[in-house]
Amino acid sequence: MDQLMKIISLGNVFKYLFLILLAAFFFLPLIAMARFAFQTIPVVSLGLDNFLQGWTLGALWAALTDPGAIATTRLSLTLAFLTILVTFVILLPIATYVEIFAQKYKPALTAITLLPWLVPPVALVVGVAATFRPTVPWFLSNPLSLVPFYVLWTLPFSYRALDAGLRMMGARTQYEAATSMGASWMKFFLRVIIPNLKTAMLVAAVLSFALVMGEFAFASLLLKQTLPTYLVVIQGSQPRVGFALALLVMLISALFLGLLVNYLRRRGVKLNATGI
Amino acid sequence: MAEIKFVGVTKRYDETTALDSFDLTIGSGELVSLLGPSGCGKTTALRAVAGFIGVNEGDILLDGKSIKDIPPAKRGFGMVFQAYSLFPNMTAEENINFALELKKVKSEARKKRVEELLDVINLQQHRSKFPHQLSGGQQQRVALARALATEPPVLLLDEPLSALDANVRDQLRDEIRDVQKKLGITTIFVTHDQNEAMYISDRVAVMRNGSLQQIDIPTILYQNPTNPFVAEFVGLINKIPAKRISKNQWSVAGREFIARNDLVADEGLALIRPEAIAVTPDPQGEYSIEAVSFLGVVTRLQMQVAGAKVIADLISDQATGFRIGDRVKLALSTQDAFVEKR
Ligand SMILES: Nc1ncnc2c1ncn2[C@@H]1O[C@H](COP(=O)(O)OP(=O)(O)O)[C@@H](O)[C@H]1O
Ligand SMILES: [Mg+2]
Repeated sequence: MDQLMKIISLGNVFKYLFLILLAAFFFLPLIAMARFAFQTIPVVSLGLDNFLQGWTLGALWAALTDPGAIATTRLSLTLAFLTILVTFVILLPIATYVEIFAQKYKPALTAITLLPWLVPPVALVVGVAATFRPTVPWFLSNPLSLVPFYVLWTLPFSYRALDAGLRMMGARTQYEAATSMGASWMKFFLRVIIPNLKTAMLVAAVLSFALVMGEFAFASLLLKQTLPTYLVVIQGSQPRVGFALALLVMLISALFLGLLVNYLRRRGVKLNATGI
Repeated sequence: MAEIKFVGVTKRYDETTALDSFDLTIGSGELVSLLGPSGCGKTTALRAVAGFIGVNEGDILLDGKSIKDIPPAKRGFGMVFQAYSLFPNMTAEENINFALELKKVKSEARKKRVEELLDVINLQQHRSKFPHQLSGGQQQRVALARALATEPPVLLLDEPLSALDANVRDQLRDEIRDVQKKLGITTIFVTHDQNEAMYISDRVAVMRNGSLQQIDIPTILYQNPTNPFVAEFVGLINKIPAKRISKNQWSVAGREFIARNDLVADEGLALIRPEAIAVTPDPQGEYSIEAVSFLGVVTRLQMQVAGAKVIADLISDQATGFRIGDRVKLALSTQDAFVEKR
C-alpha cells in the first residue's frame, strides 16, 4: 500500500516536472522574443534585474504600419480564404459521396489525403514547376498559384475533420431517409449535410487557416512573399519589428484555435471526435 | 391498393449472395415481417424495395408493375430505420414538416398535417425538441410520423425497435401495429426477433441465406413449420437425442415415431416443442426434475433426457405439485416431429 502511494506520488512528481519543462520549453522563447521586441534595452544587457524596465509598444506599432507587413498579411489572408473555399467546394462533395455510396474506397481516399505530407514540398514544387513553367508560365508567377499547393497540403487535416463529421451525423442513413422522402441529391446536400456539418467545417477551416498563415516552405520555394516569408526578411533588416510581428501572428492564431476549442466544448463536441 | 411482389430476386455481392431467387408477395394493407438470423438478407430485401440497391436478377412489382427502374426518391415509400435517421439539425416538428415540404404540400395543409401526426404519435409537448433531446423511443415515433406524413402506399421498417429498451419496445410495437391497421398501409417489417415478428405481423416470412423458407400466419408457422430450420427458429424447441430404427422410423425417449423429414443417419436430434411433452409424477419414473420456473400462465420444468437438457411447459394450474428432484414420467407427442443432424 505504502509502496503504491510512493509510485503514485513519484508519478505525480514526474508528471508535474514534465509539464513545467514543457511550459518552459514553450514559453521561455516567447518571453525572450517579447523582451527583445518590446524592451528598449540592448540585447547584451538584458538580464533578470531589468525585467520590468523600458517596455514600449513602439515595435508593434512599426509592425502594424509596415507596408510590407500589411501587403503580405493581406496576401496570406486571401490565400487562407481561397484555400478553405476551394477545399470545401472540391472536398465536401467528394467526402460526402464516398461516405454514402463508396465506403469501400474510403481507405484509399484516406491514404491519398495523407500523400501531400509524405511528398516533401521541394519535390512537389519542383515537379509542378517542371510541368507548368514551360506550359502555362503565367500560372506560377501569380501569388495565388499557392492555393492548389495549400489545398493539398491542408488535406490531411481538412479531410479528417469533414470525414469525422460525416460519420458522426450518420450521413448514410440520413441520405436514405431523405431520399425515401423524395429529396434530390442537391436538396439533401444543402438542407441536411451542410447544416449538420457546420462544426466539422469550422474545424477544417480554422485548422487550414492556421496552417496557411504559418506556411513557409512552399511560399519560399515558389519565391512568393507571404506573411511567413516576409517575417524572415524583416527579421534580417528590422529584427525588433520582425519579432513583434511574429508574436502577433502567433497570438492571433492561438486565439483562433482557443476560440474554436472553447466553442466545441460548449457544443459538447469531444475534440477527438472532430478528427483533430 | 399496393401489393408488393418479389419475383425471383437475386442480389449478389462480391463474395455473398444476399438474395437468392427470392419470391414473396405482400398483399395490399398487409403487414409482413421478414424474419431470420443476422446476415440472411432481410435488409437487402427491404432496400431493394426502397430502391437503394439494384438487383442482379428478378424483379420487384408494385401492383403488378415493375418498379426496378424508378429511383428511390420517386418511389415515395415511407422508411423507418433502426436509429439515427432523424435530421439532427431539425426539431421533431421540422423533421415531419420537411417530408411534406419535399412532396410540395402547401404551407397551410402542411401545418394541419403536422398537428395531426404529432397527435397520432402523442408527442405534442416535445414538438420543438431536437433529436438529441428526445429518447430513443420518441425519436422512433417521430421517424414513424415522418415516414407516414405523405401517406405513402408502402411502409418499410428495418429493425425499428431493436435499439430500444424492452418496455419501450413493446409499447412502440403496439403503436406501430395500431397505426398500420388504421391506415391499412402495406408494410414490410424487418426483424431478427421472432417474438416481435409473431406479435406484430399478419404473416411472417422466415428467411435463410437469402431465400424464403416459409411464409404463414404466426400460428401456422409455429404449429406447422415446413422444415427443421423454421421449427427451430420460430419458438422454443427441444432437441432430444434420437435413434433411427429404419428408414423414417425413429425412437426418442422410449417412443417410436415417423419423422417428417428424411435424414440418413443412425443418430439424430428430434425437435419437440416444450408444450408437446406431458409430465406426470411417478416415483418409479425415469427422469427427475432439475428446475422449476414459474412464468405466469405456464410453468417450465427442466429434465435431462438422454444426456440433453429438455424443457416442458405446463399450464401453471397443473404444475403446482412439482418440486426439484421429483421423479417423473414423460409422454412426448411426436406427431410430425422433425429430426436433424446430431
Ligand atoms: N454493401 C455490401 N457489400 C457486401 N456485402 C454485403 C453488403 N450489404 C450486405 N452484404 C452481405 O449480404 C448479406 C445480407 O446482408 P443483410 O441484408 O444486411 O442481412 P440482414 O439484414 O438479414 O442481417 C450479408 O452476408 C452481408 O454481409
Ligand atoms: Mg439488417
